[in-house]
Amino acid sequence: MRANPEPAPSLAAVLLRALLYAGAITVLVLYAPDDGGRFIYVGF
Amino acid sequence: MRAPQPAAGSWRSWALAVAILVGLNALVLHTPLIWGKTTLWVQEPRERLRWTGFWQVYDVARTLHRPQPDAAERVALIGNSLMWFAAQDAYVERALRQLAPDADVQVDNLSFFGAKIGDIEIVSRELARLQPSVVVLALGGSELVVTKHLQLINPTGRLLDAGWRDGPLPPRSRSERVDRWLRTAWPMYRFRHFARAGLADRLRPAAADQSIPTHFGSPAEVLAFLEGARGTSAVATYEAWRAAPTLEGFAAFMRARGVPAEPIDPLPDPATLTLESPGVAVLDRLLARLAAGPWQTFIVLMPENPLLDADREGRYHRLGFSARAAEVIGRVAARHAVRVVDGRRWLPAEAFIDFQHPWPDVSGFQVPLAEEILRARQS
Repeated sequence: MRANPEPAPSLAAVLLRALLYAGAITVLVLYAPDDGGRFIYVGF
Repeated sequence: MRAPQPAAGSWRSWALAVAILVGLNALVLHTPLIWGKTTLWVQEPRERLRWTGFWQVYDVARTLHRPQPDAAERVALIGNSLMWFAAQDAYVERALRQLAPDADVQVDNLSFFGAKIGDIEIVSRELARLQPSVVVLALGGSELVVTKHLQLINPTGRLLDAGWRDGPLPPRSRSERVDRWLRTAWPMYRFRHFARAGLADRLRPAAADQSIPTHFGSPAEVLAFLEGARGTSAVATYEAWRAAPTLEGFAAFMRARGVPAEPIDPLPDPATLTLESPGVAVLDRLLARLAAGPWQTFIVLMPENPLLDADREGRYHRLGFSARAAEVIGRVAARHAVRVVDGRRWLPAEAFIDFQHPWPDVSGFQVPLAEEILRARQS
């Protein structure tokens, strides 16, 4: 017996998921910890 | 148990996410929300220690990667603090206009504090974006050597590091190389520090930060800008030095500003600087690139405070280093037929704010520099 095919996701659900994924990646890239605080001031 | 959302694993969700990321990339590169900070001089002393170099590199990234105003000609200046303040775009452009009123030249100063030769080489990789007609490499000699506080490539320069191939100094690890590849391929990753800081500054601007004045009329104006109230008291010490211009009087003026007169980051023995030094190898690669570019290149050996002639014991500078560096730079430049302009004696002692740096604007450093730029432009 064939299983019932999964229903196609609605456009709104796809858009919401895409925003979630892109947003999570963006936040991870921008705010992941790094060594950005090690600047040394040598000047005036 | 809840069934997973059909959208969760759908290829459509991921494809749309990638499209949104491409859009966000464009936003990171182009929005003034991130790149709009113009108050690059950090006034709060503790914050200045941490942020001044960062905002200078942010400014370099902005100049290199964002659309620039149209100009008939562009001149790019690369170097470190010796060049950064004394050759602000506005000062050099004004000097160029006075010397050649018909010339429409935009100056892009791509220098930043503490830049060593590896940092400068990283900046030079992107110069073609600006299509300059003249490139000026400012060197004081210290760029070629590692010191206690600074390497040949520093955290500031590393923020701009990109490219598929290794630079003259190989990455310290495989992960550093992969990181550079990722930065090259993905602008959002590459500019993440600038994006984060630019956004934060927009949301909570540092009210005390200031734009660099386009004109200074006197040393007192410079000191008031740099030091606030302490600058006012330093003016009296400066005037006392002008009345009796001794080496020790100048050192006292520096101390009145809260700046140590002795070197903060001493240079090594000049004998350690040779044609085989790692920093000299980087200079060689840098000059090969600059000489091959579709522009005129020259090196300026940056002005030195003539008061140091009286420092015969080497209390305030490394004896013999300047001469050694000039010799080495001259020999490497000759390999690539790059002209070296020796500006070490361009300025009198009163043109200096300390033992290395000319006063911004009031030193007049921009005038002989502009003359040399015009000479390069005509050759």
